[in-house]
Amino acid sequence: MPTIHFTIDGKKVSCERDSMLLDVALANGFEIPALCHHEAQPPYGACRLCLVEITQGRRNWIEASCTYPVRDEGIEVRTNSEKVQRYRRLNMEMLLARCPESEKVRQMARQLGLERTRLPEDGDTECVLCGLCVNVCSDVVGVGAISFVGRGSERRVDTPFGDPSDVCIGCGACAEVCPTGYVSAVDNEESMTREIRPFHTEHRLVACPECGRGFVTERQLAHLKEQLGPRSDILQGCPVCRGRRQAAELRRAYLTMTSGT
Amino acid sequence: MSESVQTRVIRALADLEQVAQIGRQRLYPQCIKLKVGLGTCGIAAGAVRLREALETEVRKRGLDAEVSATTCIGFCQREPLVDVQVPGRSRVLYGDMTPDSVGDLLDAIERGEVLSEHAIARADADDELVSGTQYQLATEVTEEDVPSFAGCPFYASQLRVATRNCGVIDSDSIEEYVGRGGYRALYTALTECAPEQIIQIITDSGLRGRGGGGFPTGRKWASCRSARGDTKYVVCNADEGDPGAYMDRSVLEGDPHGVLEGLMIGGYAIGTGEAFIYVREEYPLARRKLTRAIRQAEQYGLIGEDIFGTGFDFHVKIARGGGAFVCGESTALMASIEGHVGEPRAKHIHTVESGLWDKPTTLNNVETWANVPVIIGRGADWFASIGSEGSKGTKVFSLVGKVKNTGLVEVPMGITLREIIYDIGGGIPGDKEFKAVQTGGPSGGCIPADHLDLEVDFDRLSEVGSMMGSGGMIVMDEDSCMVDVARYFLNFLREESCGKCTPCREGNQRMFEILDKICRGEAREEDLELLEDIADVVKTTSLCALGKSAPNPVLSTIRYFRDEYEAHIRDKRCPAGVCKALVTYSIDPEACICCGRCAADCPVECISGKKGKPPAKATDKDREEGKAGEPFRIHAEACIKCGSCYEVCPVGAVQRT
Repeated sequence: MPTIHFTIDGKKVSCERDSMLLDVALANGFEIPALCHHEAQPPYGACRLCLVEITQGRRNWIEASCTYPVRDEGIEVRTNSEKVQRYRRLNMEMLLARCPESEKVRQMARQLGLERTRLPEDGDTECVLCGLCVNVCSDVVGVGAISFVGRGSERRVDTPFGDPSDVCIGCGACAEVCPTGYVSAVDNEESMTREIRPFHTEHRLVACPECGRGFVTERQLAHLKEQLGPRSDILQGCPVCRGRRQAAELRRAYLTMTSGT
Repeated sequence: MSESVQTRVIRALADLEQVAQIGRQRLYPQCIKLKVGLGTCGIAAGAVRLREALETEVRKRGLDAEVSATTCIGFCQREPLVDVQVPGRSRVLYGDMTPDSVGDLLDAIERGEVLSEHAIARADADDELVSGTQYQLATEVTEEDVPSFAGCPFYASQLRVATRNCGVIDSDSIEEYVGRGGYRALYTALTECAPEQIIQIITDSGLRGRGGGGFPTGRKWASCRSARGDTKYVVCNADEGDPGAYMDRSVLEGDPHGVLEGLMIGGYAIGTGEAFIYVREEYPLARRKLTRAIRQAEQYGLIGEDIFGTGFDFHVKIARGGGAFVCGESTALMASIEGHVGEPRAKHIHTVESGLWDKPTTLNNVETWANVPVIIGRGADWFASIGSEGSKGTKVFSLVGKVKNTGLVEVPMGITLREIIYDIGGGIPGDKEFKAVQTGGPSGGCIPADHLDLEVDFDRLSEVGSMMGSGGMIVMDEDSCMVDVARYFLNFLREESCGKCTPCREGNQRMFEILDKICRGEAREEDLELLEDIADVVKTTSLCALGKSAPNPVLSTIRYFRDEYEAHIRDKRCPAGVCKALVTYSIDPEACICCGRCAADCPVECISGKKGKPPAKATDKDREEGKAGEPFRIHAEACIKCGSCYEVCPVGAVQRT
């Protein structure tokens, strides 16, 4: 891959051709806000907060940096120009009106110098429709329990027909990547269950044979065993106990080695 | 009908000519031919019953005549349409035909006359566009009382290239298509031209994509041809979803082989024999016609393996769209074919490099593909001689709204809006003033009267804040409120946005809410500023073309009709009298003639008064005898502002303010 040289806020940077501009900027220490960006997932381009201003010769335009592959030598990128701030703030105003209860959105708005929106704050969700949960479930986990439902302002994330999912394995990756906490995985140690919210999908937890803590759902365990095949014996016990056990084994091995000399 | 014909594989030009002969015999039989326009539009207008009536009557009279079907003949206003062809005589198009008028029509034909009150235009010869020849119908002009197509204002300035066969052939008959020069261009392309030559011809012709973007077709093909990859695709976009637009539907229903032939030539030029046609499910007739056309072409060996013995293979599949407007966007369409949610992606890596299943893909719309065989048949120079500087050829428009002649029209690029609206369209009905014309579909713009002399092409339309789009053209008169118009289109767009990116999903919804507020008279000055801000961010930062163009209805109406916005906001007044919340109806007691029609028509009985002689004219005697009336008045609190009193008052005493 050829290397492309260009500037971000006047600083000279370089990257492999077709690297995504946001990744290059973040790697070089620039701060660019984003809600739908995750290093483990391909760029999606939904939130439109990672906007930058690009100048190439006489052309000058606003671009979402997450989906922009760097291909041209000498482009000048500005991450914080007045124009950039204007459009980021306008999109943020709309997100704030959509998610007035979301602490994450409000905090990002404040960072953009926005205390309130001119729009009615009439939204009743914390979901910014970033798509991270949908994409992690289908592309990374490989399950596809949730999807986008509806079009336009009716769009939401849900299971088919809004019923508890029959393919969800309860891994909680959706909750892990959710930037606002709208999606969550809540474990109940007493009943040994995990609920994936707000998709009201419940799972039974498997107790760690050593400490008795519920550490994995039954279906996730089955899913992992299927993926790992013969190596699935590493799944014995919860990560904490597994760690302790391995540490003890290491210690024993070390002691054997040192005592032998 | 065509299924009964013994088909054999067409390998050589002579085989094609043989099929053409059969086609010509069908097109121009030795008996009277009555062709009924049975497109979706004709069917809706009652053409099926008309055909039945014609068949019954022909049988009853023992007339040597055949009743056959064609599709859209273009003149929607005059549907149902019948085209009458008597051997040796001029062909005559009749409009406003009903089963009741069938007897009169056949009487006239039997007498060797014309049913003049229904006659629209006559043709003495039929142009066969692909070869540039003519089929002489009449040796001398008969039916001279009927204007020729060139003399009929609706048809005079039209030039039918993409719609060359629409309303002429029975689109269920491949033979008729071949009889009009069909598949000749494919033969030429496969046997005489290298793929690069085809691309050069298309490039030289100046053809630009008819689906909205206006991207040079030749350049698109060249990029796809040179893109790396063994597997490539050609795709036809038939997901026409603009309200009030039906160009692509009409072409697909009327000439499916024209689209297929274009697609095959394109496939050959790009280097692939794999094709998809994405048809929206709301077009069942178009899909049926297309399915049948594919089957017929397969039977003749025109689709399949080793076409014309050249080694070129071609296969095509129909993908059915679920009716999402956004699936007309190229990347969303491809996602939908792949079986994913129809959502666009960023297009920095073009679909000609990485499209369907990440393979190089060329997508053009129905009308673009339909132009291709003609360009190959007649040459790049011929095509480039039509149209304007930057936009070559013709464009099909669906001319609808407040015009006398609505219809599907195809005109050379560069014709003025005035010619389309006033010459072809016949002007505005009811002596009303023209106010604006909306072009480019829901995300196009409204163009005011000042620009009526604008030459219609890709670039000029963009300059005035609208766009060509796929060719919808909605004419509005003085009774249209431009804020309400913007609100209508934004209502469509907020529902049809896929919802993936923030500006398009939230912005279209918010713009709609503000427009609704303005129409209700509840908006303040700062709402207009907010509306313009949102329009700006949606236009600048949306992911795909739907979002980037969605604010056009708002921006163009603010640009040309700002005073109407201000009247709604500042004076709480709707100048066109459309926005119900801002309109009040009252009756001028001096002008009221006490006829009581308003009260009789009022659906909520909120008008009271006394029928009789108007007070000014009543004598004392009238009053004594109780014959004097009392002026009627509207009780505003109960009025639902339906306007029926306003419509019905014979003396204009009801006022709308």
